[in-house]
Amino acid sequence: MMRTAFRSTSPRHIRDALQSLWKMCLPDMRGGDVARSLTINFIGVAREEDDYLVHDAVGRLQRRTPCRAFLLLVDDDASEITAEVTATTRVHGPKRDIVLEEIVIRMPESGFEQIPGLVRPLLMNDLPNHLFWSSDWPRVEQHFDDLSQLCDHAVVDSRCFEAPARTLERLESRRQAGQSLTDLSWLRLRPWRRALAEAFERVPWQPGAATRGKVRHGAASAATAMLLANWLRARLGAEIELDPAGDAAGTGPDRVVLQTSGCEVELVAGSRQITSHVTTPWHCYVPFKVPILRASDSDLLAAAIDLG
Amino acid sequence: MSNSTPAPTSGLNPLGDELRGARTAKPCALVIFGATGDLTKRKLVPSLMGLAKDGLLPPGFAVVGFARRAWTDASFRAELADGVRQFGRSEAQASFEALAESFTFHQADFADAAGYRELKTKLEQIDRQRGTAGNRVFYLATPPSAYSSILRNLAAAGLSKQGDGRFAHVIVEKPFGRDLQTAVALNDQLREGFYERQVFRIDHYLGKETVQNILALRFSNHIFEPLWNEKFVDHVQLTVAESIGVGSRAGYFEESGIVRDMIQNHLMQVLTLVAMEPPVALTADAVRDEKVKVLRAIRSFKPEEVERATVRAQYTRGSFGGEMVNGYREEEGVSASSVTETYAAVRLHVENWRWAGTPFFLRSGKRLPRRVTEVAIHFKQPPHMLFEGGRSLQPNVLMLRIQPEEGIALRFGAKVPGHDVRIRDVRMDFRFGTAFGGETADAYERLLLDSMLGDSTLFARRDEVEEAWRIVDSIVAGWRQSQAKPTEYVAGTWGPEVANDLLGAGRTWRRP
Repeated sequence: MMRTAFRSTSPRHIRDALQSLWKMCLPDMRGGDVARSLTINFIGVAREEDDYLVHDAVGRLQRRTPCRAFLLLVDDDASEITAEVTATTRVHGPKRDIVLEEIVIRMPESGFEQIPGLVRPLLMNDLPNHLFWSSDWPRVEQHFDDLSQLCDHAVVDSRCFEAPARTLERLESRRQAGQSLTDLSWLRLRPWRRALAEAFERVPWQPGAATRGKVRHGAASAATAMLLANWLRARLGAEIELDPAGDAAGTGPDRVVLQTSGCEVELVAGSRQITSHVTTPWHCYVPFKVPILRASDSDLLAAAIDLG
Repeated sequence: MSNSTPAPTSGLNPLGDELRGARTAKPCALVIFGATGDLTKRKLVPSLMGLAKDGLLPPGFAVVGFARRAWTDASFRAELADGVRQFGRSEAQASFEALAESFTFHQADFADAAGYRELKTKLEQIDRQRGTAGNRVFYLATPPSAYSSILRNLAAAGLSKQGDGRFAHVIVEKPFGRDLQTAVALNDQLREGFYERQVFRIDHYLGKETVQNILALRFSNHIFEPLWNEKFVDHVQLTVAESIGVGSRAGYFEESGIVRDMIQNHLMQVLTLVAMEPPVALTADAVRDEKVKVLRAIRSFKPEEVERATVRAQYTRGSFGGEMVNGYREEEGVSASSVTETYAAVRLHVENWRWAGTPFFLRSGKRLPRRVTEVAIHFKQPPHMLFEGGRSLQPNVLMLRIQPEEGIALRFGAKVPGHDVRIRDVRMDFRFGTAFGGETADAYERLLLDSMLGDSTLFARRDEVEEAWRIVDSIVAGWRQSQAKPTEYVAGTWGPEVANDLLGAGRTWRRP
């Protein structure tokens, strides 16, 4: 059972607003004495019109990872920074704990400069800090840097990138420099990676063997297909062609074909599963299926935070 | 991120780490003996669907239900669908619908050899159709009286053999015998058809997250281990309390009693995890080697010691949850002159370097006020008490709550705010439900997956089972020899008063 309380406040009074919420949620306890089971600080960034992306994420996240969440909504119409504070409690046995403190900050794009100074003193100490950048890669990269410097781990979703090829390269160079980054598109590829790995249990692959392949995808899954192709190039030394003629709305590739040492691996996506066909010069295997989990973006984010 | 990992320079599967990380079993067929029973419907199949939902079932997977009833594939699936709907996790139903075709039924008598030859043919057909590659898991979800026939016939049909990359595992449900002699006989029978590494003895307690968390707490935190010994620990209390009576299990319970039903398996397993030395690795044999050393360090009781080291009792009529409930001997199916214990408390000593002189108190009972399982580590008092009134303080207690409201709590002294110096007991609480929330996988999910993966860390090994029976047999023998009747406690209370005497001066049982 949950109970949610809400307070609108100015950015300077967020801490006071939190204390007042604690009293509302847990009237038997004095303001500063409330029990909280928070395990992370979470900073989510979205455009105001896409606020559901971070709201949904936090709603899902707190079920498994209680947190203090800062939701930064960039609103071109906003003239100043405003804040709202919400607390959610969960009843467990005879007790009630606060499992989510949500601080929604609406701001114009110019407000980014003030955010680190606003957020830093409010981060719960001794907890890991995670950043979720839910939209396109920022025009002003400094905005991302300022926030990621507050955090131990950053999560992006390359599906939102308008120029995925170039941005994926930038992310890769950040990773090489030691930044802890997770891309939700990479997690979307889990069933594909698993199906390919299962298929290669049946293929007598040798390092250096010439390997060619094709990944078919739609417009919405271009970044995901690029990640898969890059992975196959790195692991197999394969030449991989991207074919953008697939299902325009699909969240992953439609079809992957690989040929190596006289063997062929073909993976085809259905609505709930990937069907894998493996043919070698000696054997035509019974097709096997790998389920495609119906994970929402919020589920993927929760998984990304577990990884981070 | 792993997409930047360099290409492996050698190895058979260049993408194989995707499989190793996923804890996904190889393709296999699961054969459930006693598939028309309650366990299959309430636990096994809903748990399989939980695994399917999390993407942890292998791509090639099939279930064959083996039972005597004249069911068909369709009626079997309909019954299971009903079970998944009632007992499955959210979305388990969708998983079942997707996998329903992989469930088939095989009607045969457990003692009929021809039925096993037909089963073998059927499994070979499934290998071809579903790619299960000759891998088998046999689950004995039957009364123990059927084990003998099933094991003998599996071996005779050649179904227990593994090799050439194929596995054949057998899962056995408790009770593993009713005393040491019958446990040895069962284990010998298992050995006739299966190697020990093929045998998975399920005690579902070991699949519980919070039981596994005992290892995590002890061996992933440096602060507890230095205190985890006789120098700092006064005593340890382990409790498995049930609020229900014997219900429909009177026939079984009359034969077993609480000491066989709870202490020999669940409580002994939890005890070994609390008392064991750190294993050299988190592998099945390394962990189980350390667990069995704990049991070996507990002496069998001499008959004359049993009365002083144990308490046994039966519940009598009393008020429970606002209504009067029958006493044990008034329950349906229970003899009016029964001496079967519904409550037992035992004082054990683990006679090794770490625990010498620190008693472990185990108790379990029916019709106690609450259903609860917990471990309470009671620390010693500080050697010198600085604070006024400090003697009235309770010693520190670390409580590991296994069910319900799973969590960990620490009791310690804190200064009461004010101008004088007064100390009061306070409690620091961690609860899994609030820290992690969400749905927790059922213990059977973890154990079914482990049995497919061939990971027997969370299953009882032969020597563990036999050592536990050695200890319990010595208690039962002492009771039998003394001829004394069990003492009594009123239903809805925490057991007989005399149980407090077992603890010794200055100690009391917790009321969890």
